[in-house]
Amino acid sequence: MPPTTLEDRSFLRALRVQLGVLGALMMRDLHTRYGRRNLGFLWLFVEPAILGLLVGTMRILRESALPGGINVIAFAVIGYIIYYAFRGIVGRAPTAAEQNEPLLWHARVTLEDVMIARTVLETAAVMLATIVFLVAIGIYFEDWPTSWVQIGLGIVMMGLLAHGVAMIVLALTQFGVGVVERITHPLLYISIVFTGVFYMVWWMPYKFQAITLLLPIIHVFEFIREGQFGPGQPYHYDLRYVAIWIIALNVYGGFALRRAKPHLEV
Amino acid sequence: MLRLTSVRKTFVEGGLVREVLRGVNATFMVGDTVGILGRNGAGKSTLMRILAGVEKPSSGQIERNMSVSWPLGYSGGVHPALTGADNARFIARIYGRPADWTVDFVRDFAELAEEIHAPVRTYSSGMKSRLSFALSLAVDFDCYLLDEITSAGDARFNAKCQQALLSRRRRSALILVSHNADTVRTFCRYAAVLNGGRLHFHENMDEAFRVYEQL
Repeated sequence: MPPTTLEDRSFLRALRVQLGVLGALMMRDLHTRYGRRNLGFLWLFVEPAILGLLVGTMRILRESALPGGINVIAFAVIGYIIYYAFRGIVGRAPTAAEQNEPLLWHARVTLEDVMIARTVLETAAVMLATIVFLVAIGIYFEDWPTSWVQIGLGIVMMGLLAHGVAMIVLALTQFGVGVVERITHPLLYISIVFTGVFYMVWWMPYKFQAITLLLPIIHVFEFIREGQFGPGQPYHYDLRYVAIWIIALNVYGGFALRRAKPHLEV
Repeated sequence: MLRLTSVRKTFVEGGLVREVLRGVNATFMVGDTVGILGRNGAGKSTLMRILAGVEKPSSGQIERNMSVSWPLGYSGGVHPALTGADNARFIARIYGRPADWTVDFVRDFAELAEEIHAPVRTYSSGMKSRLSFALSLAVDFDCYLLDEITSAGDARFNAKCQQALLSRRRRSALILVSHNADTVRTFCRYAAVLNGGRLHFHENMDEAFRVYEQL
């Protein structure tokens, strides 16, 4: 039998345990979410691709171009994939506890770990899908992104925003606010309309611009689009504003989840 | 060593306060084998979850200087949607054991053969308890928490479990919850009765059973 190392209590070991738990949870999520044999992972690519083609075809049929002359398909596909990360992380939050309940019987596995593993996995998957689509668009339209790093950073910000919201949603669900579970999905669908997935701030009438910019997610979209389409368009974003939201949502979400924990026990 | 000092646990359900544990004091050392007796609803599973560190007490201290297993014999710990092998890899990763070795050990010890690649939800209850027991042996804990695990398997596997547990009596502690006097007598050196939210230890096994039967 290989020697056991459970007694060692150093910080490095604690870190290794933590990383081991997160890795194990990510593998578990990969297996149940994307499936091992079936092509579940493919949906991550198929869904935005179908959408991009539909939007693109519609625009071509109506012979309408986007303001600023940017590539319609690139705009729709990248907007949707990145929104997919937000929807995936927040939309799956209400079931995070019950789906992993058997694993929470291990003292080393906490609900926070479950949430972190999901966010990391979802963000990484969306990052990968974005790269694939950007390369495809680059090859087909000869339209390459201005800054890959900026797009990557934007996706990370989207993941962090979603993580905070997801923790709050999960905490509310655990407090027995059953309605949260029911309205999360409709709200996520409606939010496509006003979170900047399919428009840019400068397309708006001036008086609406200030209102749309209250939502941090719109700043992230603008930031990503600057990385994609480069100068030549006016972009509206304030990274400090996004950072404040990320910190506020995650701190509040962390506390809410802690408060909700006693309600988890069956 | 695993020490509980004035551990209390209260649940609030629909505005009603239910005190499950009202000041439990206990010390478990390596080599201790303790049977815990208690009627249904006495708070045995709550106590097990607190010992395992899965649940926090409402008040009181817990000192845990040894690795303690998850409570065995309940449905928790193993994910029904994953295969036996994936569960083994999951547990190997979180407890820092070699993954391939763990899968092999579990397949052999639990006698699952090719079934180890089937989802756990398709297992019989005997197979499930064999799997979780084998998983816990693969991790090699200092202290095992068991709830009636020996009742689920067949006689031959029970003998195998018994041998595995008895062979590690010197280096591991065992805390066993059971209604069965024979099980407790086989595995445990002394017994404790959980009643009224408190745990009463008895050096003498017969005395413990006398108290338990009078409840």
